[in-house]
Amino acid sequence: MTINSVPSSKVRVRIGHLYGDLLNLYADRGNILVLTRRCEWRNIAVEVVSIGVGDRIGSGEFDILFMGGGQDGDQQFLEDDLFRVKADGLRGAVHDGVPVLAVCGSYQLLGHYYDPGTGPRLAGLGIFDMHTVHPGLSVRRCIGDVVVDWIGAPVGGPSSVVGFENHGGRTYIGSGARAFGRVVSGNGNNGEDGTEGVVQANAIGTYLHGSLLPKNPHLADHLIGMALARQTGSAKLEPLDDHLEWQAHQTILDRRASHVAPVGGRVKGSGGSAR
Amino acid sequence: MRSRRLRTGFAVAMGQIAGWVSRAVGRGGGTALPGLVVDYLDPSALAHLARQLPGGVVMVTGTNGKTTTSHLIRAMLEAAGWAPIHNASGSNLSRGVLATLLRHASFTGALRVPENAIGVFETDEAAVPRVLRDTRARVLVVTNLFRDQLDRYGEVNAIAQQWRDAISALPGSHDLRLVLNADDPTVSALDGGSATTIRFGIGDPDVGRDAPDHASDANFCPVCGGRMRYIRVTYGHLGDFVCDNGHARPTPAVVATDIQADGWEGTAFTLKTPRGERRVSLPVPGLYNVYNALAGVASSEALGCDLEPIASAIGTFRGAFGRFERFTIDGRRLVMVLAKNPVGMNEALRTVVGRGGSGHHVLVALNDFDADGRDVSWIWDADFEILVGQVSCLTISGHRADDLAVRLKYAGVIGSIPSSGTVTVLGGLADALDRAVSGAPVGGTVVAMVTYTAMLELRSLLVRRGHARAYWDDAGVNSPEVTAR
Repeated sequence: MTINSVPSSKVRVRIGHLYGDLLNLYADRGNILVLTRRCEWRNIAVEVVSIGVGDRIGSGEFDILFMGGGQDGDQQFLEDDLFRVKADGLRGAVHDGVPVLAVCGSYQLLGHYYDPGTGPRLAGLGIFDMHTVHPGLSVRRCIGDVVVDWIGAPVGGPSSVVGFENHGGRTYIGSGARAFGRVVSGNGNNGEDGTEGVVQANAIGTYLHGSLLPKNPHLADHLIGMALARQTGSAKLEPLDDHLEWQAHQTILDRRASHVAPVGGRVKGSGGSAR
Repeated sequence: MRSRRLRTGFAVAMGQIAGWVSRAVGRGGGTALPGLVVDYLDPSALAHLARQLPGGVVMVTGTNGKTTTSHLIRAMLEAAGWAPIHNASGSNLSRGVLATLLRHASFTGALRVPENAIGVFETDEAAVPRVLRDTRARVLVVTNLFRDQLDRYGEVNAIAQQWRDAISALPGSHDLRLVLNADDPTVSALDGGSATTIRFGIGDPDVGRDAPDHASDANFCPVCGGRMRYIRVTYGHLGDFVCDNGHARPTPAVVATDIQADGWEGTAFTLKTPRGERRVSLPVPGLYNVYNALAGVASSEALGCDLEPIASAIGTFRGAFGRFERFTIDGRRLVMVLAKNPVGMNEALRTVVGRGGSGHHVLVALNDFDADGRDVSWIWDADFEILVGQVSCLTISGHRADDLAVRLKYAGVIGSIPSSGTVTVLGGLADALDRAVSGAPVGGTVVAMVTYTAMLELRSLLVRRGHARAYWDDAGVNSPEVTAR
C-alpha cells in the first residue's frame, strides 16, 4: 500500500478537546481516541490538547475541535466560561472551516437557546441555527439505538451512521442550517421531522454517542480529511483495515433491519415517534 | 382494618401460588414473580410485611458493591446472633424485597420469623425511595455512586437528589441511621450533616493514586458546587478530597489502614472502629471489597454489634456469586468477575494486572440487555489500556462482542498480543468459554470479566455442567431462574 499525495511528515493534526476534563459523560474519550489512532496509524502527527476553563481558542490554533456532554450541573458551571472565554474563538473556528464535532449536551449549547420548559430560556452560543425545547419530565426521553442516513457522506462510500441517543430536549433546526442526517430509525433531533443533528460549514452537531466515531470510521476520516485539506488541499487518506469497526456498525444496522429502507429505497421520512 | 388484612392475606396467598408455579415449571427461583403479583394485588403489602420484622430493616444501595456488602452484612449479623432475612439472589427491586418476605409469610399476611429476625435488603438505586418509605428501614447503607446505566437511571446527580428527597420525606418519628462512604464526595454529603451518620473510609496513605479515573463523576463539590481537588484516589472518584471552598472529606469512624493485597487470595488490613482495632484478612480480592467490608462493619456498628463476631465474619466470608468467584474446569481455574460499569471494570482490570506477570488468559463479555444497560458507551470510559502487553489469549464475547472488539483494538490490547497468542471474537458465551478454557494450560487461570446478564448466563452454564452451585441455593430457594435485577 503506498501513501497517497498527503505528505505525512509535514502535516500535523492538533485536536482541541473542549473541557476534556469535565465534559466526559458519554464516553467522549472514544471519539478522541479514534481520531488520534487513525492519524497515528497513517503516520500523521497528531496531538490532543484539553482546552480547560480560562483557556482561549486562538485563531488557527486547532485543526479539529471536539466537545462532548456533561451532567446538567457540570454544564451550568461551564456556561459562564463558554460565553466569556470561548465564544469568539469557537465562532471564528467554525467560520474558518475548522472541522468541529459537538455531541449531545454541547450540541444543545451551541444553538440559539435551550428552553427547559420549567423556567426561563437559557441562551446558547448561536453558532448553530437551531434551538432546543424540553417538553417536560412527563414526556419520555429519546433513548435507544439510532440509524441515520448521512446527507453529506462522501460520494461512493457508505452513508449510514449509527449511534445511541439519550436526550430529553427536542431540537429544531432553522433555515440557515442543514441536518446532519435523515433518521432511518430512532428519534434524532425531535422524533417528528426526521432530522438528526446539524451541519454548518465544517461543524457537526449531533445527539449520537455510543461512542460515535468508533463504529463510524468514515465519519472519523471525514473529520481528519477536512483537517488535512485545510493544510494540504487534499482530503485523501490512506485506507485502513476497518473490518472490526464495520462489523460493529453492521450489528446495529442488523438489529434495526426491520426499520431500514432497502438499498436505494426511500428513507423513511419521520423518525418514529418518541417511545 | 379487617378488610385490609383480608386483602393482604389474599394477595400473599396468590403470590405464594405464583412462587410455586414459577419454581415448578422451572422458570424461576421465585425471586421476583411472587413479589410482582402481590404488589399488584396489594401495594401496601410490602409495608405491612416489612414492619413486622422484629429487628427492623437494613437497606444496602449504591452503584457497586450492593450484593457483596449485603452478603457481608448478613454474615456479620448471623455471627452477632441475628437471624437475617436477606434477598440474597440480588433481586433488588421492591418486588424482590417483597418476594423475600413472602417466603416467611402465612396466608393471612402474618410474618413467621424468629424474634431475632432482621431484614437485610439489597436495594436497586431507583427503588430506594419506595423501599425506604415502606419498610421504614432503620439503617440505610450507601456504598458509592458512579455512572452506571445512564439510559436507565439518568445522571448520577439526579440519583443523589432522589435519595436526599426520599430521606427528607421520612416522618420525624422515623429514626434512620445512615451508613455512608466518607471517601465518595456525593455519598458522604447525603446526610446534610446529621449527627447520627456513621461513615467509613480507607485511611492508608500508601493506597491509591493522585488523580481520579478518566471517567470521574464527582468533579464538583456536592455542598457548594466548587471545583473538587483530590489529595489521593483509591478507586474511581473515591479518596481524600477537598473543594476550592474548603469542604473536605469528613473523618470516618470506621477505617481500614495498613492494607496488604495478596493476589486472588484476598486482602489483609487493620480495622479501626469506635469499639477497637483488629487485624483482619478478607478472603476476596480487590480494594473495592475492602470498602464493602468497611460498609458492613459500619452497619454492624450502627446496630450496636460487638466487634469480635464481626471481625471473624470477615475472615470466613466466601464472597457473593459471580464476584471473584472461582471454579475449576478441566484442571484450569476460572475466576469470574462481574464488571458492569467503567469503575468496576477498571478495578477488575487492575486486580488482574496487579497480580504481576504477563501472558494472562482473559475472557471479556459484553451484553446489552436492560439489566446490563442498553447503552454500551461505557466501555470507552473503562481503562482497557491497562491490559496492553499483559494478555496472551484474549476471548471477546457477548451480544455486543463486536463493540468490545473495537474498543480493545483502539486500546492497543489486540495489537499487543504476541504472535504465539490468540484473539477470538465469539458472540456465544458457551463457545467462548470452551475456547478460553481450552486455550489455557492445565493449572493455569482464565479471568472472565463479564457484565451482569453475561455473568448469570455463564454461571448457569457452569451449574448445568456441574462446576457451580445455583445462586438461589444461597437464597433458600431451589429452582433455576435467571433473574433480571
